[in-house]
Amino acid sequence: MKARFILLIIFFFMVGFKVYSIFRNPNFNPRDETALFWTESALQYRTAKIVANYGFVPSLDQKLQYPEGLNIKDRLTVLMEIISGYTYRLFIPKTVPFHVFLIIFISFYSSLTIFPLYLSVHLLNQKIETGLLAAALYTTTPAVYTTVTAPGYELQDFALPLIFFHVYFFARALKASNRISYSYSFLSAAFLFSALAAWHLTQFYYVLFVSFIIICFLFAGNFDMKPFYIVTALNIGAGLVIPALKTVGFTLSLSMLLSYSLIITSVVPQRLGTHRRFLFLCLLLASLLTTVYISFVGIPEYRFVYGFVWDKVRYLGIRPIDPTKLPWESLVMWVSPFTSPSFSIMAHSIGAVSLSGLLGSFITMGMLLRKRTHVVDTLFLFLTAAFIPFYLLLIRLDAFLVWFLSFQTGRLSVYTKRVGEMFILVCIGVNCFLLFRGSHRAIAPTQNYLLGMIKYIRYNTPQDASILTTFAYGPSIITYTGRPVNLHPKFEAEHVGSKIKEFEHRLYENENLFYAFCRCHNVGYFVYQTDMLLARGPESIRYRTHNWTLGKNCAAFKFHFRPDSLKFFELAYSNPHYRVYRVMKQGERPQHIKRAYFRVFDEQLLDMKDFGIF
Amino acid sequence: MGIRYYVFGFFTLLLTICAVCLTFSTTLHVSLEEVYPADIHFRKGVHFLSCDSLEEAENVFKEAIMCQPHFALNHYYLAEVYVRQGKFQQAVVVYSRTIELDPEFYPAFYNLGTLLGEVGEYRDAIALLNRAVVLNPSYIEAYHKLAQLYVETGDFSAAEKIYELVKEIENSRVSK
Repeated sequence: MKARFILLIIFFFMVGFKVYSIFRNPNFNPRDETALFWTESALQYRTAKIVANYGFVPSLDQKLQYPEGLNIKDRLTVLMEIISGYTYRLFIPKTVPFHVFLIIFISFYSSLTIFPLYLSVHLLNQKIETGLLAAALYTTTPAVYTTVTAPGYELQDFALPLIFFHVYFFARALKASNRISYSYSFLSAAFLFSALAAWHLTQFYYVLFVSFIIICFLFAGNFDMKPFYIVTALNIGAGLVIPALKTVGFTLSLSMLLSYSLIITSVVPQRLGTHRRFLFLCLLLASLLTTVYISFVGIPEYRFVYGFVWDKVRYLGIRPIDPTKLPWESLVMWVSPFTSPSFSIMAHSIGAVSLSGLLGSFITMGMLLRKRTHVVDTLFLFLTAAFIPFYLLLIRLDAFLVWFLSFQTGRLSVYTKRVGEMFILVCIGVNCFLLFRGSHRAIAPTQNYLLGMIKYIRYNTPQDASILTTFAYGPSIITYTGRPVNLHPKFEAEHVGSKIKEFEHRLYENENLFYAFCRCHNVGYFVYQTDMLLARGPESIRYRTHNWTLGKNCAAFKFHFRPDSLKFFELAYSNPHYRVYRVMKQGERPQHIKRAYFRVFDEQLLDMKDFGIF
Repeated sequence: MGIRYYVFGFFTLLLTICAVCLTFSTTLHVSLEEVYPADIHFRKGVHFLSCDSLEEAENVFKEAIMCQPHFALNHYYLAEVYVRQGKFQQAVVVYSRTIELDPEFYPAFYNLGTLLGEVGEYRDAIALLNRAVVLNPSYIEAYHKLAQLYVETGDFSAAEKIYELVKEIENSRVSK
């Protein structure tokens, strides 16, 4: 009873800290939602708001990815938006602003990860204090707060509690006696089912999960496969029932093909040992070949992810200095939060849990070598070990790693309870220091200029005029101005990848070609950003389109320095970060009116050679 | 055995399936009618300012700032209201905030420089006006004000240089 009470206090501390961090964020205002959320979060916020207002989501939203529209039903995983939208619609008084509700909702919901953590530590160690200490350590780790307090409304924050409950119940299934283990497996599978419906990247967690089952099946004698059968059965159901998974052929994805291979092999009698392994190897090879075919030919949307991960591994997470060594498809993904963490970020975001978690993992490893562990220990050890290199490749996976490291911390009290617990307390102290002292990174552009541009579009453009921006800005425009946008950051949508690629390359070709792109996609207004021409860093458009040097005839140069020389675009609004151009209709001529002067657009003040312009 | 786990599992599955399969509509036409309080206050403020209703303008610009503290124009117009009300001290504070938010916004530098010049803080005023002409090298009003301040401080040679510069700019404008 006392333990539950303490756990609840820890949980409410976590929720409270998230809500407090957002409420004190200068971008947050309870009375005006404009530009609060940024990029994908803004898009998800809009969908949730549609659900809250209408009770439905449009299957095809033409305003997104104008003019062809985005098939939300078949392409996006919108479980989070539906659940939060309906919660507001049904239970919350409308005097509470939707964005305020959403912040509290996601803070509360994402903090649920603490319960499977406590339960898992308790399951394996059978010590209440250790479970509570691990939960407290997890709660004080800064990485846990990164996405929600950005402020963000990210799919991963909704899917992670589901995934961790799935892991916990699967562990219980492996530990329990036969009959009760089925009920645990079923619940575990149900959580995974929901996680798959909530976040596309759950599929890649599932690859790791299946890899663990393969190792157990091949190397641990008498491994009970029945819990895995149940998980696979419900996953097949998910692949057939959930429209977004059906579209991407989840039932034929790598993880599912591996699952089928495993199940087929497992029904072969055990006495045919060598034949069994040979059969599995053949099926494994077939699965890999099928995946390669599907991802590069059948469903090209997968190519982005697989190609990117492959390039990340090839270059050990370090972006090459010469961008021409990588294709645009990999470079466009190789931006925050899919970059690798620096040592400083690792120390500040993961903190002392890295040390305690690694020590705990070594203890588990020692126990494993002495054969004093249960298969469940191996499950957690495997997932911890797997997420370390993945985190080093993709910083976004910190949420997984921190959870598993916190779990491993529980192992510290196995031999020396007092010393172990003291050590965890010290780690909690260190993490508290990092949490309260650390500055939260603001993941959004400068508010003043962004607001200026948004307000211009909101009040000075026709309601149906479509706005062409970089894919990261699309959601802010559609959400806070209501205007259709041509590009957005949901790469799982059909054709959006090729459309973004074409847009980014045309920027550095001549004006006629850029205009042809605008005409082709019915663009009404184009939002130019100063970094389109001036930035050459590893996350810039010039870097990923391999335009290290540019000529003065390219469209981007004219948009920046010579708007008066444009034949098909009329400068309508300008501030030091953005310019809004009206795209001329057939036969129309632009009227070049003198706009406010800003130094950044003065050709004579800048040395072009510094920017690779010749 | 474990019936509650089955029940909870079925409930999770049912909720997920209903959510992702039944909430889509092919006929839904979305047009979210949004209300943006910050914009409403801002527009009201500009209206009151143009009608010379300074007290009302002050209140609504303050409301606009409460809603969007990072939008420099909200602060700029509030400072304008303060100037017209004769509240110079407050105007200086709010102009300074405007400059902090938008370091490229030369009208704010000009207005603040002018204001400080009027209360005799010549050093700061000259620095601000110099900044204004750096941000916009063809800002004739700022040059004139700067020259005037140089004259007032007795730095006639600097004032002369400024006037020559103004002449050059005006000549180049005529020749264009």
